Amino acid sequence: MKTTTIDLAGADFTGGIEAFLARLLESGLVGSLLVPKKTTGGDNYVQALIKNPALLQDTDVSAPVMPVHAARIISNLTFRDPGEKIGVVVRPCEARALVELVKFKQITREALFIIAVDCLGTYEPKVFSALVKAGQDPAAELRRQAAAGSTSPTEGAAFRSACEICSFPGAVEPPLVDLVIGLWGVDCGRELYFEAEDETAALLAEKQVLEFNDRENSRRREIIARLSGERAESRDLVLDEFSRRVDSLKGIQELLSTCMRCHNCMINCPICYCRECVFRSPTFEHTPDQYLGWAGEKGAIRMPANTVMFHLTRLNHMVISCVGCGMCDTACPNDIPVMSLFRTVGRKTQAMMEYEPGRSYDEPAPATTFRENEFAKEAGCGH
Amino acid sequence: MSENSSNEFEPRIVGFLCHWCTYTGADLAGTTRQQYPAGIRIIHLMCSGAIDVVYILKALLDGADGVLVGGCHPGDCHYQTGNLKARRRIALLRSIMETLGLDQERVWLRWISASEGRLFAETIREYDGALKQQGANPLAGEWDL
Repeated sequence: MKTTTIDLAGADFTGGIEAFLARLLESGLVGSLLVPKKTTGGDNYVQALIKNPALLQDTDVSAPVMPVHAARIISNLTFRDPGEKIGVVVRPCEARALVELVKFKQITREALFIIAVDCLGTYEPKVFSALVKAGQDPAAELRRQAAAGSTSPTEGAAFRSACEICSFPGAVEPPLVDLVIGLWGVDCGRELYFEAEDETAALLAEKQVLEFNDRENSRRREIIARLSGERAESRDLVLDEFSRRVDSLKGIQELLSTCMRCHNCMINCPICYCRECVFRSPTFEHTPDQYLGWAGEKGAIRMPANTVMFHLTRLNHMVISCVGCGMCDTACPNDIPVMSLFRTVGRKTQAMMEYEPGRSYDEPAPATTFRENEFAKEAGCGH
Repeated sequence: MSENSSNEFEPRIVGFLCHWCTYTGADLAGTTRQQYPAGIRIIHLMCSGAIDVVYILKALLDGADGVLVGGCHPGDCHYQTGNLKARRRIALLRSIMETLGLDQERVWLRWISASEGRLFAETIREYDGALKQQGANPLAGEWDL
């Protein structure tokens, strides 16, 4: 592994990163870049697919807002080989979902130059917008805090609930990704910090994109390890409490009471990749007499029908690969804590299958494999 | 819930049976005049590996008392490994049901070969007995699902 600490020499963080990204684009190592860029409105950052280096202006890899999950966009761009390398900037939950989508053959890894970045926490888009409109610069504020080793949201605001219990504050590391941009423990007002494997570092140096001076930031690693432990503790507390809330049919009914089956949680989930979800297919286009038949059988049925079944099915189909990004929470118009449900169920099933989503490109997705002797009791095969 | 003349609870079981083994085993149970409870409704699949949980959940949420998925013994699958993939899927489903306080014993997976007509009848009697102990599926009376 090679490391480098680059002196900004008077430039600011975003300017330094923009210059680096411009060199990467101009070197021809990538043909385009997918980077968070400030919207024209100024109160949001969205993924922008950039060809012209001049338009790297107003991009910020540390923007603490995630209106859309990058792995979904990357899937749109690379489900087929796009014919050129695309450089993508991904926070930890985006990188881990990206790994899962590579396994599901929804992303072409070879078409990507993956730049992983530390995550300092994110705000819900509406919260971020309000902060900006109140004259604040949330990204700069969090970078300043991160240098000292921890971040907390601006007073009166909160991070997304998924971020509060995320035990992956540090950028996903090579070789899963190509390059790391470090923020934790880095004085971003003065310097930039990168890590890459030897081969990538040599290539970046040869193309004069980035010099590797072996100035390692050892504090960064310590901070990430500490934060990861702290967050894992709060995650367990939160999920232990939540699991008692959903350990009965009544609990599930209460949780889903305000669900209107809009499918937003599914549409925004990076792991729910099916082009046609069974719930939006002819399988669930029922005829009037079917609805009336079911209502007759039970006396009454909730409409739209199959609300609990939608969530239970989605749990079964994708919870094993759930990375806990919380886009389902962000997307829910009625604030149902979908992420907590998925993480509560996910921690048990992922442990059962000895699987950690986003850990490796080589471990097969559990649904696609098996061992000869396993799960007889769990599957109800009798003795 | 259907009840017989003696007012005893008769469980309704939905059976998803694979074409090559368990469905043929059920057929053999019939032709050899094995006796088993009449509460099972059989759905014919080509392979136990063809089952998606959405169909099992539909049966349970609509009020079936039990779901039985029947496939070939490990090693005998007509499609090599469909039954072993089904086993993972059903283990996952039952684990999720347990976490959410739903009765996982309302889903069973059993291996019954084409020659095991007697085992098929025994299995239905066993499941019927177990479900009678558990009582009717509480989801049958729930409108808000």
